[in-house]
Amino acid sequence: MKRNIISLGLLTACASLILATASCTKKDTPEPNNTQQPSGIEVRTITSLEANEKVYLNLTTGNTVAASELTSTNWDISFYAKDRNITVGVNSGDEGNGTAGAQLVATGFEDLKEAPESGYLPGKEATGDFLKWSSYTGANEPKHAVLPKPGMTIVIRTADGKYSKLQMVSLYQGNPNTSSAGFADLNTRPAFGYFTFRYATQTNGSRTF
Amino acid sequence: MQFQIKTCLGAIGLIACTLQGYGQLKDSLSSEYLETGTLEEIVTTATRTEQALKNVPMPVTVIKGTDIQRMGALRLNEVLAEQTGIQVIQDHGSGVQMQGLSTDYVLILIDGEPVIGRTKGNIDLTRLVVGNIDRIEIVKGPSSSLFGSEAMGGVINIITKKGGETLSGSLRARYRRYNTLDLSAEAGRQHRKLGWYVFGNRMSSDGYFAKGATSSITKTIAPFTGYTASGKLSYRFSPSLELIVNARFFNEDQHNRKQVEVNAASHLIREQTNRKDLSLTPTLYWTLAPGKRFQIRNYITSFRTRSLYEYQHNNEVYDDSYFSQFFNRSEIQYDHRFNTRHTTTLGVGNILEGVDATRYESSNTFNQFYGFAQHQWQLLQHINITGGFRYDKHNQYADRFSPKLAAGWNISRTWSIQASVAGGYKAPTFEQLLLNFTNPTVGYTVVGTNVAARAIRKLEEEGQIQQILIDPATIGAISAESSLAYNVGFKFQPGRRLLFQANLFRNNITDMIDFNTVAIKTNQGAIYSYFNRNKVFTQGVEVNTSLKLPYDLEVSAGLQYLDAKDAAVWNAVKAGKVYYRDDNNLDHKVVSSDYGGLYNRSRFTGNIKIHYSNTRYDFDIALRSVFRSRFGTGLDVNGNGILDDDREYASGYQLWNLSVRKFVKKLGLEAGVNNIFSVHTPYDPTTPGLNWYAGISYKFN
Repeated sequence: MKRNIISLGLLTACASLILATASCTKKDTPEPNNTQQPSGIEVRTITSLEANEKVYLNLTTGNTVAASELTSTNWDISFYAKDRNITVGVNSGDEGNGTAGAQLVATGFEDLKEAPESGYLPGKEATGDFLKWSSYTGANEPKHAVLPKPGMTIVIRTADGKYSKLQMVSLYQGNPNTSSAGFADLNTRPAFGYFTFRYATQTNGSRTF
Repeated sequence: MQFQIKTCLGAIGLIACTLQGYGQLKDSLSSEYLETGTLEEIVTTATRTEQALKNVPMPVTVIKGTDIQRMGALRLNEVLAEQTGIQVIQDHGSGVQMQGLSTDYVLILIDGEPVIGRTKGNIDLTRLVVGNIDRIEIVKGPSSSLFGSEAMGGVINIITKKGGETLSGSLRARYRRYNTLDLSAEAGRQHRKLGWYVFGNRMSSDGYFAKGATSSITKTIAPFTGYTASGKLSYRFSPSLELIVNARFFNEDQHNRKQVEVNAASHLIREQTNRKDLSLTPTLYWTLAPGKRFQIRNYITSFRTRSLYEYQHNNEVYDDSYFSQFFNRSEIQYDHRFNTRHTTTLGVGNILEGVDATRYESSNTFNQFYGFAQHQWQLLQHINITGGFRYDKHNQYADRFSPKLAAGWNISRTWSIQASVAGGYKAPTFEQLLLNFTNPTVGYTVVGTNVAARAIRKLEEEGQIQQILIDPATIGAISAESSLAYNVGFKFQPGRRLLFQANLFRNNITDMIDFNTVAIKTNQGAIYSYFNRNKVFTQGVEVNTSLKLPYDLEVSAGLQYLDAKDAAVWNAVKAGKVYYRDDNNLDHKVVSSDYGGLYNRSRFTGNIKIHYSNTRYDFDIALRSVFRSRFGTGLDVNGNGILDDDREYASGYQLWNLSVRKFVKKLGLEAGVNNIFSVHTPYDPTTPGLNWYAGISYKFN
């Protein structure tokens, strides 16, 4: 129990250290790695998305949106990871002009068969604070790592009223195995600040996946 | 005749009988039990009155002094490590786990009085030498109805020796690997009115680096020199009035080195740690009439530690901390034997306790009153019912009521069964009540429930609080952790050679104390305090069997199966709400059979012992083995914070110990090897590689 105290306390002190290891590398382009849900809905995976500058994604088309369209409703979710700031937001509230919403549901990605009817929050209210959907390991192995919580799914109502579910898979470059020795060693741990996630969007407008 | 024996017992005093020594008691009682053909073992801990072991309807184990001598043990952890249902664990010293409850929930007594001085909840068993022990009584399951706080997982009562009929004593020297030297001497005599017993021990060791230790600077076991002195004085003013005074002193110095990083430079630090305890217990036994007796006692004890860390290069102080505790218990117990069937025990007491430490705001005093009552009813010749309760009123936390009901039935000479239900509790620790600690490098703050409201208000006035998450005014109503436990056991003894015993147990623990974030400071550091939150259960079965073979060979074996789980986690796992991440970081549901429960609990633990004693050539051999199956280390490899992955376990292990003794008249020679196969586990630094020893003793009488 004490370890949680230490972990959260160390978070402030060490976040800069972790992020310092996130050196600049060649920008990875999102590589879709597609599978299907049992219902036939396509599951797309984005690996090692770099977001030193905010990246805006349309969950229906799977395309990122150009800077010129930021005020439009052509995007649903945004990702940002630089220095100590890691935020995920949706196109509404203080994040965009749309009416998208998001909420965290404590169910695994594949087990989540239906999006909640209500409870969607605008902008960064549901997902802005990354510690809501990930945890900091602090002094526990692997030390000083930020790992997405298992069984936590982000459910999004898109800017055009469809429903999408998203699981954050990793925040490290190349989606490394976090129980490996290479990850445990801070000298060989891959760079932090790269989003790997999978998502599935129900395009027919219903809430079932 | 029977009545006279009872009278004698009454006159000597219930606990006094035990203090007076087992031998004498056996003599006075043997006639009563002659018909059974064996000497009955008498125990005092389970009912706070002396009772034949067979009539105590609770799980009680007795470790005899002769067994302790035979195994060549130096300190209490070595003795307890070989007992079924007791797992010695390492957590700020050697502690015990009983029925799956950790060391915080086990009460250690010396002659019925609690040993104080817990570090992170643990009483380090290496503080207790074994040379002055007559026997150890272990009661498993809660005994809070008699002993109050901490008697939740069980009670271990060390009964010390007393003087013999003639002047007698012994000298003993033993030498172990790592330059470990243990010297002890004892002497005592019981005159007609005056009795005395003195014991002294010096133990020192160079310590060692455990195999596979990561540090070559900090020894795993620090070099130490420790002294223990204890004594007992008794005086019988009249047949109805006797005074017994017990005293104990322990002092130990440890030293070690460690490396620290200060301002990005590496420094060697010299550590010096001292710990000492001191206690004095006068007890007056006053018999009004046969079977009606008062025990008036006052136990005063103190425990102190001091740790001084200095830079090796310039002797400047790096850290200097202390912990000091005193404890005074005044108690009156009255036993009333109505007839051979009914005995009532009543008691009242007061505990005054003080603690002062580097991390506490100021010195603190606690006051506690309690009363207890117990009735033992011999319903039929072979059925015994014992019921009782204790009420504790403490000035720092809510009142406690701890009941107990137990029944035993000796169906025949071969079969007996027993069952009990009891409540146990454990008071909040000093830390949980008093701590006011801010980590200077990281900036978080932990406040005990007593000081929380005031400490947070002060920080608020200083403008250090950014956000309050839980109203500090609501903190402070912390309750003791409590349990309800069930034990059902049976004994099967066909003849004198074979004994088979089993006990099933279940402990439901509620209100376990855990911390939570109360507020966030402007420096982003959190403020934590303590709350009653968790529910835990432990259940299992303990089985013991022993068999006496021809040629003075005796074989015994014990096994415990344990299932210990966090109730909230277990319910969530069963409901399919707990997930883990695989090696590709994708999440999957945890299957309920994968949940391994609480950390550091082995599903199976046990022991095998083979004893051979040769009366013709006066030597004996004892070969013992203890094992435990795999256990969770606290490591989390799959992101869910629970024990559910094979990689989160440490492997089980098995240790073998051998000891041999040979007696030549009054001279005794002994030698042995502990951990014969040099088994190593990083989770128990007290098992270095193979550890041999040799010793010599001289007895006089």
